[in-house]
Amino acid sequence: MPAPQGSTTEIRALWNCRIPMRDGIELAADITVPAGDGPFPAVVTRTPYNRKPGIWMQRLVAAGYAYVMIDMRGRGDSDGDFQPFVHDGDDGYDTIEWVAEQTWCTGRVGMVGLSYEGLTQWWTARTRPPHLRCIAPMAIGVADLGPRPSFDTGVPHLYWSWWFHQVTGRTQQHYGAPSWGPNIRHLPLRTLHEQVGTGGRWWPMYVDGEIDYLGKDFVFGDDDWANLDLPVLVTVGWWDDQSTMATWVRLAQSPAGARSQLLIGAWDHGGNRSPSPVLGGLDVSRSVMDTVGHVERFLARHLKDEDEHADVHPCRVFRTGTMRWEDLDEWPSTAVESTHWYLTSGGDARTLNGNGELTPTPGETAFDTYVFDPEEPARDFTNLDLFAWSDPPHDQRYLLRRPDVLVYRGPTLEEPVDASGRAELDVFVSLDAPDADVSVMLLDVHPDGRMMLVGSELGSCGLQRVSMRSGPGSAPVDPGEIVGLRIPLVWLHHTFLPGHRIALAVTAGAFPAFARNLGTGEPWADAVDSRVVSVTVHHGPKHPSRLVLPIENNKGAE
Amino acid sequence: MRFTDVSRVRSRFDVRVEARDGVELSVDVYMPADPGDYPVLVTRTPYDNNRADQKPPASTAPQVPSDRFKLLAARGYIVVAGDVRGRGDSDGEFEPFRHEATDGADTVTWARDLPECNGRLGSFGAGYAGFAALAAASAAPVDALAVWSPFAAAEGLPTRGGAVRLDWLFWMHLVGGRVRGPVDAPPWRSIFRSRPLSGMHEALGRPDAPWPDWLAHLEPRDPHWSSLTSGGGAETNAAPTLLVSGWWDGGLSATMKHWESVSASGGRHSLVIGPWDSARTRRPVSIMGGVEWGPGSVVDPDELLLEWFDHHLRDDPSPRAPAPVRVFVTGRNAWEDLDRWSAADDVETLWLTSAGRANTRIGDGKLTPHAPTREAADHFVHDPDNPVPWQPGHGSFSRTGSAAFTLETSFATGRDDTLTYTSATVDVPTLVRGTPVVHLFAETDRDDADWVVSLEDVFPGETRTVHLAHGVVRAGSVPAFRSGVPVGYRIPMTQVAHEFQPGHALRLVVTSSLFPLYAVNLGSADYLGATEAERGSHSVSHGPRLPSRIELPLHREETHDQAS
Repeated sequence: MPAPQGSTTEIRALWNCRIPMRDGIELAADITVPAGDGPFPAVVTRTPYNRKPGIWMQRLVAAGYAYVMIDMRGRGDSDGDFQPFVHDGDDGYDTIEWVAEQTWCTGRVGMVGLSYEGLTQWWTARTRPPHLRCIAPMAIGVADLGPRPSFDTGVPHLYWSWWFHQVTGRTQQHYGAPSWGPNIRHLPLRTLHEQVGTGGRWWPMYVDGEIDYLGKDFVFGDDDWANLDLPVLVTVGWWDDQSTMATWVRLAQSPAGARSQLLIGAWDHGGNRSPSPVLGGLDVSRSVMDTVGHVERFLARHLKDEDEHADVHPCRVFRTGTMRWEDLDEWPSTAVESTHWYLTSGGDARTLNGNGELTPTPGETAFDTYVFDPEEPARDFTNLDLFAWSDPPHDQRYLLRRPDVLVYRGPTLEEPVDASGRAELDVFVSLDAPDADVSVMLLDVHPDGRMMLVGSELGSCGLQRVSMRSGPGSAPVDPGEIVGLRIPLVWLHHTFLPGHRIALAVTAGAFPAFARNLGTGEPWADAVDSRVVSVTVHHGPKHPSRLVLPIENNKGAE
Repeated sequence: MRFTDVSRVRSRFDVRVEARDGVELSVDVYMPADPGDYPVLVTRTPYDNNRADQKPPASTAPQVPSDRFKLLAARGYIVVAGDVRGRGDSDGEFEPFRHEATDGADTVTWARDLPECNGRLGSFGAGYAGFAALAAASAAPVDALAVWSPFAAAEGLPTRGGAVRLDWLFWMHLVGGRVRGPVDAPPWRSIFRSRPLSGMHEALGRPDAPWPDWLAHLEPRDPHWSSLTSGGGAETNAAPTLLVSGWWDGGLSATMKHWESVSASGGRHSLVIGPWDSARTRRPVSIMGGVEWGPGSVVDPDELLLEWFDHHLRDDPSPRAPAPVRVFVTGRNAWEDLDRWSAADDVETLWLTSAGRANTRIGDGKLTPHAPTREAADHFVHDPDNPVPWQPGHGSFSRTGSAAFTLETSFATGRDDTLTYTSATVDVPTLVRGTPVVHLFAETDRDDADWVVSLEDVFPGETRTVHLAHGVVRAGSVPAFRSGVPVGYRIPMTQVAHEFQPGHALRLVVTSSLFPLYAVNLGSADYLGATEAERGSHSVSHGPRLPSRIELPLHREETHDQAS
């Protein structure tokens, strides 16, 4: 369906309109309504990034909605104090009910927005304002990720120093303004904000654990899910926020599940609003679609009772590998079986030229060792000035030539392998030091040799700090002690095609998005000394390190 | 082009500076990579000191403020970049112009005490920030100033020749809160056509904007304007001042006015005027308004600023002192260094004449060097519902910053409500440099009217016309105005430095609107409050008794030197 080109529709507007909250604080809103007699259903976005009506305003006003864009408390033109990641459901509730009462509003209100603007939708929905009919959060999750330690992976997330800079003061700071490059290795991490010169209000709270995105205080609890009964359209990309997929799984089981929808495409974080035909090194042009139009149709159903698409499948998911859209009744499929690919080697799986393999059964008892030097960490393509929240499907061979990376490759496939769900790794490791990080990439090896990430989120899936393996609280290992880890990898809906190979890469961190593990076991906030660490991956019958891949069992080859 | 490593610049964001009344102002500080003693440059803006704009295409200059600040820091300066009171991350309330002298002085004083400040300070800014730099310098002296198109707050803002400039409503939307307003979002075309003029801010959706207050003070000498600010005039700014503007920059007249007073005060000052509109004055490109001015026309604003401050603030001043006046002569398409922006050698008068049908570019209107002997007049109908557009299409102010901006005027001069008067072709290069002045005898049957005059260069065979300058007067602002009789108006135009090449002709275009640069005049005695519009029957007279004419500042000898 073609998208409307721009908009010649006249609008009426009220800029910097003040909306009173229950405690007397006023929030700033830009209100735009179509020309003509109302009332109109209304759509609300609440943002910490300075309200800029943009594409949502153009498209939604042209489609007959009133569109209201609001600066969150303490941001932009709104009064009060901003607190990152603290629920502001009361502001959301008061906003929705205020909008519903306006003469230009039919009393039906929905919400749209990407990333943090999605988070504010979840928080608002949780308070169940009577006039909120549906939400359409893009690329953000609120699901409890289970027995995961603090900071999701246990590894301090340097990304947040970048994000806190953006929300320093009331305005949205240009992310590229500080000199990240010479400062991102600063130690101790407690004073990183002083070295960079920004984010001073928030970084110390993060260091002290008071801000912990996806920590237990910041996600939906069982009661929240049980009470959620309004339709949700979840949108996300494969190289994007992976907690969104976990959130969908939880949502689908909630009372809201039956009327909710899922859209997953081959895009990164920014691509949710405008998918790009080429991402990283992959042609994903078949995934390009009008995502804003998709949201519009969802809103039409729930705000205008336009039901012409009522028979759609709830899940529209782009299958990578074969590169096709699939309309599904459920995602991930429950008709899967876990298949296992065992890590094995001839004793040296280091680099692309090593002898690591993935085999259907465990090989002989063996191990591979790599040496991690925190002074010379492997680092990915992340452009520090942009620090975008994604890691597109680049060919990873530039990293896999390093001697601190283990590579395990499966056989060349003769039949397609349809994977759907979340991959995991069971891995047995030992260290010669108190601590280290293990990071794992799931790769699709193309016949031409390219080794592509099948999904990612700046290294935060497949990452585990060994000392945090059993949750918050440090549990250092004894030198030589072999510990088993179960590390969740990426979510996927991917076909490994004939002629391709499945591969894993294991290394010791995801710098610079995540902090380096200095190897000493010292508390991370104040540690400045580092040491070289040998990490050994054990495999064989006694320590069956293995990739666990959910494979669709009722799908034949195409 | 030289390579500058900005990657190690030290920076501190949202540092709080306390103003004398206790209000906290927010500044970002950028410092050279290594500790030392450095001169400090202060700039203060209402447009967000660390914004991440959408980048304009085809720009060679830095694209976000922090790019510029990092460049200056890497070249040996400490940069203190502040949000003005009530804007961005600064506390307090934004009252345009009111606090810039004192807040700026407090910021300069604070900057002087920075541990790595070597005691030498400069200040810079563009537009409002240019005003803020001048205002601060009037209250706390600095050693040098570099200012692009400063707002002239003390001299009356919302009008030219008594006609209301609609770009100020656009500006009020931009600064209507703490953060920048979404300037591309409002439907400007219908807002600028809404009535009454005094209620246009309500049509915009900004009922709290100071628009009606400003319109209550249309007279530039109204004390309202000087009371807005305690600084920003030239007299107290003795520091060497660099002023930059462009021939099609909305701030050209204010810049030239400031130049007049600052250069009269003595001292080492410098003026640079290029072939630019407002956006290109800040980020020059070689193709502007659809005309290729040549790669030599492009001046890197950061290098210009650095050259100025290196000369005045560093111990090792660059050997080359900047020329006092450097103007880009359009038509010749070359820079010219002058000792002063001077009166002409000669004023040549060209007289408007016709056989009564000067309408459109193929009418019979002429500009002649000899005063006409016969009385005649040209007539047209001014329709307020169909004003003469400043740009093709719907033209809003955001478009003037876009690549679509054009100096070609043929899209408008086919209209019957445009009178055109064209000279014979010149046979030698003819340099016009200064302020052309039009004396127009014009008549309306309504109770008010605008008279807009534009000077153009007509290329051989009329293959192209290039807009050079314009002037406007609103009849109702002139005491002598009476409806139904010809009234003489003196209309100074915007400044030019243009050389007409052999085979080219001069053209004067007379209209009664230039929309949306100026509000449409509805012809009512109630200029601000009228909501009804009627067509006006307008005429321009010429002849011995009503000698409509244009006075052109000619520079003959220079012209011949160049031509020889």
